[in-house]
Amino acid sequence: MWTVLEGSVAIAEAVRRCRPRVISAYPITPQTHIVEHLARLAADGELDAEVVNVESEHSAASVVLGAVATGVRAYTATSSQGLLLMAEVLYNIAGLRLPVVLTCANRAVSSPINIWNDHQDAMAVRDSGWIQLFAEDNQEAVDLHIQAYRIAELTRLPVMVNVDGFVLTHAYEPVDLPDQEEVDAFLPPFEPKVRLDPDHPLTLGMLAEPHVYMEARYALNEAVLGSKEVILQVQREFQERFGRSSGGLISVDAPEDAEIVFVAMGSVLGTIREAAESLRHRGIRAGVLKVTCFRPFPGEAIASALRGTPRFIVLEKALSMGSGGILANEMRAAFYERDRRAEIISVIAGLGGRDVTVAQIEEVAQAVLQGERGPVFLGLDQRLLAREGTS
Amino acid sequence: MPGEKLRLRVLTPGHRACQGCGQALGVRLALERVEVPFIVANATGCLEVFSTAYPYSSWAVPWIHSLFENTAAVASGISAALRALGRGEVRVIALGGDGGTADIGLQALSGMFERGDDVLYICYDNEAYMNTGVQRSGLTPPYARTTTSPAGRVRLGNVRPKKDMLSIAVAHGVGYAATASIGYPKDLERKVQKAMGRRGPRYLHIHAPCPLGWGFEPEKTVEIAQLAVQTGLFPLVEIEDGVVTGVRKLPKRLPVEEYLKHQSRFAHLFTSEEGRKAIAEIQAIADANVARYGL
Amino acid sequence: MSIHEVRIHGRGGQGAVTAAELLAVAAFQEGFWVQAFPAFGAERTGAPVAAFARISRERIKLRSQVYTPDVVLVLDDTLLHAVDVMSGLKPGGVVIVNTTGTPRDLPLSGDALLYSVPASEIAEAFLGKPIPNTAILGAYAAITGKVKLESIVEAVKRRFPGKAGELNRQAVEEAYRRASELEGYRLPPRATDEAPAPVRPGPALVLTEALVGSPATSLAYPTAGWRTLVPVFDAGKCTGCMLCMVYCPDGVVSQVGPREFVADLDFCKGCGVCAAVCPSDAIVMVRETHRQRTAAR
Repeated sequence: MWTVLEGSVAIAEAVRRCRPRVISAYPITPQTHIVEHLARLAADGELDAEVVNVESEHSAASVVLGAVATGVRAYTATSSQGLLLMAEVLYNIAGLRLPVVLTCANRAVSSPINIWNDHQDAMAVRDSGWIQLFAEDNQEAVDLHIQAYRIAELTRLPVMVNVDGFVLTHAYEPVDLPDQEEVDAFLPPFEPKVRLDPDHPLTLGMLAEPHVYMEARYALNEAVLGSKEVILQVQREFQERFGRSSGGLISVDAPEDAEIVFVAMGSVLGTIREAAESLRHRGIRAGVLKVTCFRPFPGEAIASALRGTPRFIVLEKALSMGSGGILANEMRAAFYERDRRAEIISVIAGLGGRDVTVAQIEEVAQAVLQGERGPVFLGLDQRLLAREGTS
Repeated sequence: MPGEKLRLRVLTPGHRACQGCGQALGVRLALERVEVPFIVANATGCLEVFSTAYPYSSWAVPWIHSLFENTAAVASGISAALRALGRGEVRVIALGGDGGTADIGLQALSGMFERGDDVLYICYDNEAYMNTGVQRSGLTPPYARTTTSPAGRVRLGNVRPKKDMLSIAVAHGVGYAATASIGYPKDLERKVQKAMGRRGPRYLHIHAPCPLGWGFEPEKTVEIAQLAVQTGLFPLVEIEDGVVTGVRKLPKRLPVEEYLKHQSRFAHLFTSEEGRKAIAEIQAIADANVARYGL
Repeated sequence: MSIHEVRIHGRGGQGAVTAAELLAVAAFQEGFWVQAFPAFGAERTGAPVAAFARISRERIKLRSQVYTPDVVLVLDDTLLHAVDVMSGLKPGGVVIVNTTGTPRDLPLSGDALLYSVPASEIAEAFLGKPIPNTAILGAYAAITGKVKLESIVEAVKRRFPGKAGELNRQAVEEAYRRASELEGYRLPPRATDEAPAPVRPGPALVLTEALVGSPATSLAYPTAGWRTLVPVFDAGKCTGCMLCMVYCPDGVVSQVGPREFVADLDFCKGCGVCAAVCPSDAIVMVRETHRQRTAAR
């Protein structure tokens, strides 16, 4: 059913259809609208879930950890500092192999404090063992949440669905919400074998001494790597049932002989698509490579895509301080491992809600074609830097 | 054998607790006679480390360890899940040490209390961070020597009083809150039974001496626990719906020296004039406990 | 580079780590480069633990664990039943055991010279406490000649200033004197079919998802090796009050008759709580020598 909904409400409606039985979250902008809507549904008796109002994100993550360990489907959502506060619990959830689903309404991290969108929060927990998916628009946000529960429960790994704060969570646009029956048919009831149950007492969260810890971490890494197949399989199943292609690892929209291809994650892809189209109109063979799944990192898929393309502009809303663009560097490693040569130009853009425009993207493309090799910080106010005395 | 079934019911031997561990004894006394099915959420600490070195688990009941400070929240999640599953007959018991309860875990515990979650939270108080090597916690008693509150030339160990966890629990409106000691097993077991007879958040604070951290020979664990009670330093009380309903009276109260002198963590108090003043202060704390609860 | 490696076996609380540190400090005073470190584990007071020392003429860069020691020091002869102290010892290596027993009675075999030194007894005599970790270093100096007695004494006095240092000095010197008179006992060769004592008995290690444990599996992890004292129950004095069973921290005491209780000796750690709480003195803790342990098995 097509309706115009706020992104947060659309996500909440998708989550509702996945029938979580325990929901726990702590207020933080811009995530709050999602759980507010779920709380309202529960209050009206339209959602059969325990809503646990906690005193911190650390406890929100801990509540869903305990709930999933007891054998019920659970949901939490957060942003920015909330995700960082959860970090310790996120590692724990992954290590315990608990299929939690979490929405991260992506937001900048402090200091300086800033409530607007970028991806620094999600990148800070990229090594935790969570599957990380990024939505381009609200329709994909809806679809990825439904897929997330399926992927999580098949792989017994937690899944974080990243949705750009404000840009998507607070934007109204048409979405096609699937019917409850369709979702039920796609997502069978959650019946984990390992759970806290007095009839079958198991010990969860044991101490791993040096003779076994490394094997445990190796096994987790193998599981995360192996989830790529499941993510693709769930993408196919979803397409068969709902008739839409969403999810998966990457998707490519580029001419065969593209001379320049943009790589990005999340909502900025929409603006990039507009810019690429505009560049093509002007005779520049530009394309787009979308990374939907950042963890596991689809290095093989990226490095084998667009084999003829000589240069990629990786535009990302995060950076590793003292190193650079994270997606760009991982992509360089993926190329190097496979002996593929291409220029990979790193562009850091849109930190803390700084807007990214079609004109800026076109300008970067022109500069790269004229020899600019980056790293580029898109739209830096050089006059401000000069006044600060640090340019 | 009558003991056989009990011993295998909760915490089985083969764990790696120190000789004479008060905490290991406390777990046995608190949980072995709980008749209803239950799930345990356990904070990081000695208990978790000594009972679950993979692949050897000493737990015969379903048990989870997540982290240090989130045990009350994990227990809340288990409780919520059991509600969702309609398994009201299964109960949740959270276990944490003094640091995991009164310091790093206090925020999550406050949330669990305030929400009214159906969990019995048991704090094993051995009055310092023993798992990491005897560092001061918010429940370390005054003038006790720890590795981070050493007794030196100008300081006599820890300077602050024990955080009053019982009052903190009661201030949250917790229906049942009590203290107990491994030195008084019948009293401890009765309190657990009483707590299990109620629903909602409940709090039990168990004094559990640590031979290593307190500096006494392992065989003295029980005696030391009893002396803490008999001197009035660890009052055994229970508070139901905000009202004190049970107090262990001390008709033959002992002076605090009788408790302090057995423990090397207080040895520095017996060698100087300042130390004697400190002992007098500790005696005043015991006297205040007696006055407060009518021991 | 030639590195002299020493492994010290003790129990949590016996000072094995301190012994390694003192040995390192002593050797450093003689111009050696040194390294000392513990084997970290989850075991607690009473549990078998190990510590290591490396001594070399050149700077030691190696950071891996010690696998093939030149010398093994054993702080407690009851450990011989809990740990394979001979593991990895270099052919012709030296084993020094703190025991009142004689070398040929100790359950050891292999290509090594064995020395027995009553370090606890010496410590008891000089310090009033049976803490063997300094005295055994005196024996080490006498037997190996690797470091001088004076260096050990100096290290001990630095570590324990004042009277304690002086008493420790006397214990070290006494152990040195007695060990100087010892001849090494050549151990019988280890039979090829003789399996070393299992350090980690029990089920094979299987990697489960998220390391999920099965209930009560620690019953396959006996802790008898932690014990130096064993409770002996006197049914004649027993009143059947059950306090020993109630108060056993490890839950290993069972009732087998109206006035009859037993401790499960696979798990009893010998803490002595049962004897301490017994109101009728029906339980006494006795030192369990290696010979009694062998007879019990």
